[in-house]
Amino acid sequence: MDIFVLEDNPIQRSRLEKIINELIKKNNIPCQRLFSTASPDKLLDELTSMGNYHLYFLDLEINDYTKKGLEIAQLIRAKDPYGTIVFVTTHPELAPKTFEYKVSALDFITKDQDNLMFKKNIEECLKIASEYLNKPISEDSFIFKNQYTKFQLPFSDILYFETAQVAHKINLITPKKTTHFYGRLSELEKSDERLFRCHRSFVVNVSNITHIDKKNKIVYLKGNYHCLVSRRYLKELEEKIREIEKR
Amino acid sequence: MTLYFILFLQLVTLLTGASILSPQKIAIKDFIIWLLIITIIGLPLYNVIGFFAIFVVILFLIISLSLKTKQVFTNILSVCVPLIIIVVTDYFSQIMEMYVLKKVLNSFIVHYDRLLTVELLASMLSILICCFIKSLIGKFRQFLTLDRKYQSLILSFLLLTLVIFYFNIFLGQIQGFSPKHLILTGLLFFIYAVLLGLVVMTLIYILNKDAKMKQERILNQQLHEYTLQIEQLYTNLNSFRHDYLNILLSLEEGIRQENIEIIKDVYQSIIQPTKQLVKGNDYILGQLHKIQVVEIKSLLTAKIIKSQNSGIEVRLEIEDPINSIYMDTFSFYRVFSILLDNAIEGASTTNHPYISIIMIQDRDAQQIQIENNCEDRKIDLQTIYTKGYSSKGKDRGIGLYNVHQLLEENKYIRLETSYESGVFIQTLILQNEER
Repeated sequence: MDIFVLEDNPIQRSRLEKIINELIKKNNIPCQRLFSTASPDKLLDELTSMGNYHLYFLDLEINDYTKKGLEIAQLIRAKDPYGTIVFVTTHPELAPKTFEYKVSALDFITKDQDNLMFKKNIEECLKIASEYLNKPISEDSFIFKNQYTKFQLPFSDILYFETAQVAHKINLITPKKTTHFYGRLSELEKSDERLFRCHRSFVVNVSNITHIDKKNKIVYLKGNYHCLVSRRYLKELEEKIREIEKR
Repeated sequence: MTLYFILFLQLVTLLTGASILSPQKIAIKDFIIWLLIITIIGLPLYNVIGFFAIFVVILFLIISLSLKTKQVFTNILSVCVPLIIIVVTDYFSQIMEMYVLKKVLNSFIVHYDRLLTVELLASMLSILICCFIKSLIGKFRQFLTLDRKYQSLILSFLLLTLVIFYFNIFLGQIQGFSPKHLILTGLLFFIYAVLLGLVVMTLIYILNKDAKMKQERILNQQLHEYTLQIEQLYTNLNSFRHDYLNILLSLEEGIRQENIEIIKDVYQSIIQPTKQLVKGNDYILGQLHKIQVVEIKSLLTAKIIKSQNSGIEVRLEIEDPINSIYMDTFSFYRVFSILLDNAIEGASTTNHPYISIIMIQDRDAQQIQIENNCEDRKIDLQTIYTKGYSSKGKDRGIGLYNVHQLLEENKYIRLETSYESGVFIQTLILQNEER
């Protein structure tokens, strides 16, 4: 992993370099080199030659580049899709969510906090970035796309889909979130073989089923969620569960 | 026997018409049960009190529908309108049969059941008209909101129409239907129904125009408030500028004397506190300049001022300029204001209330996130979508079900709801239709 620092104020830049070097030693972070510069162009040039998974500390306001912090980050993101981007800024009106959404920025660190907190924040980022190195890239994710909507989430989060009470809309139930969107159960059912239409108004994620209450025709899922199963699909559902368990 | 079959057919048509027009989906099971009940009540009652039995039937239907949803006005409409249509199409088909069908059919079949043919034609026509009305409602849905007093006016009109129609039929039955009588009443009924429809439409049109004017007045008021707030900020800034010159003077003095103590003192007592001023949340309204959509800008102003006045911290994040909303602005306004109200209400139950509003845009989609903290208790995301549910307890707030109904017409929208340990987040994702 390489660490890049983009900061046009020399004092701030050397402060950051010092802290990072200190923390690398302290935490045994596998850092090949630390590259710091005041020029976005230099940084981008440097990027062409190497692989990815790097860590970037970017200042949001670079002289003559005002308001372009986001663009620089997007350029970096295009070249290093798995890198970790952290913004270091004095920007008074932070826009963390926007940056998180657009370049999946990991964190926002404000410069004008006391040294201890500042250090702690940077340490956190270093640790997280080095953990990414050992993690496989792609989780098993579910991608849904039709003419009207598209979204993506980890497959294991899916509990079930149900028809909403208004026409043509579907609710997706996950442990922390419900999503209401336009779609048909039949297209969802076809999108993955672990999804099963167990009732007129339910498509269930078979791999998350804990048990079935056959008497009351209720399917229980992890996290104590439940949905209905109709009699004629009961047998097929049980078969499906066995089939998926076997794998 | 044929008579009973015809009556049954009319009941089927009535129920079908009602289930087409009713915004509530009627399950097949309910449909069959209700049909059985109205057949069992209606047919024997017909023997006793004649055509007036229909009033018992519609009363039953209205009550059963109202047990399902509380929207009594819509329920009465969706039962009575098909009935009026049936009566009018019945007359129309009788006349058609007499002058057109008879000639056509006679050339194919020698004997056919006159009444049955008429009734089949009437049923088909009624259902077609119901479908037509339904599609009209779908198109103009957003204009179809009415005050209670106008609702009752329209209802009494409808009921009066039905009474007149049936009284006429009753009289006709006593005197016997002659072809002339048929044409005359048919024509009268037709004109009456069309006129009634026109009057109702005009009324709704005028009322909505009125409502729109009112809405615009509110909008102006909100924009005015926005201007006032900005002016206030400007005044604050001006006084800060004045202070700033004084600060510089004291610093200059310290530097001239090369007295680090004075400089330290000035920094700690005067400059340090201004950090708060620059960081303060007062300037949050300034971010609204990124929104070019007047309605949304003024809505946000109103809600932010309202929250700040009731001690709720507001966080706002709008980085991209919003020149247009990727859906119908009017519908979005309504949904957005419901979600904001819910967030404000939810936050106000806590000790350190905050709401955060985030708008993010790229070419594919706009994402609007509304977050608030609330009492930390178990909210079941499984049932939160269900009708009549409000996390704030019974009969309070506007449930998510109503939000879903507002979103029903729009396919390009997605609503994500999440709740975890006292933080409630609603995210609207509007897919850009042009892409």
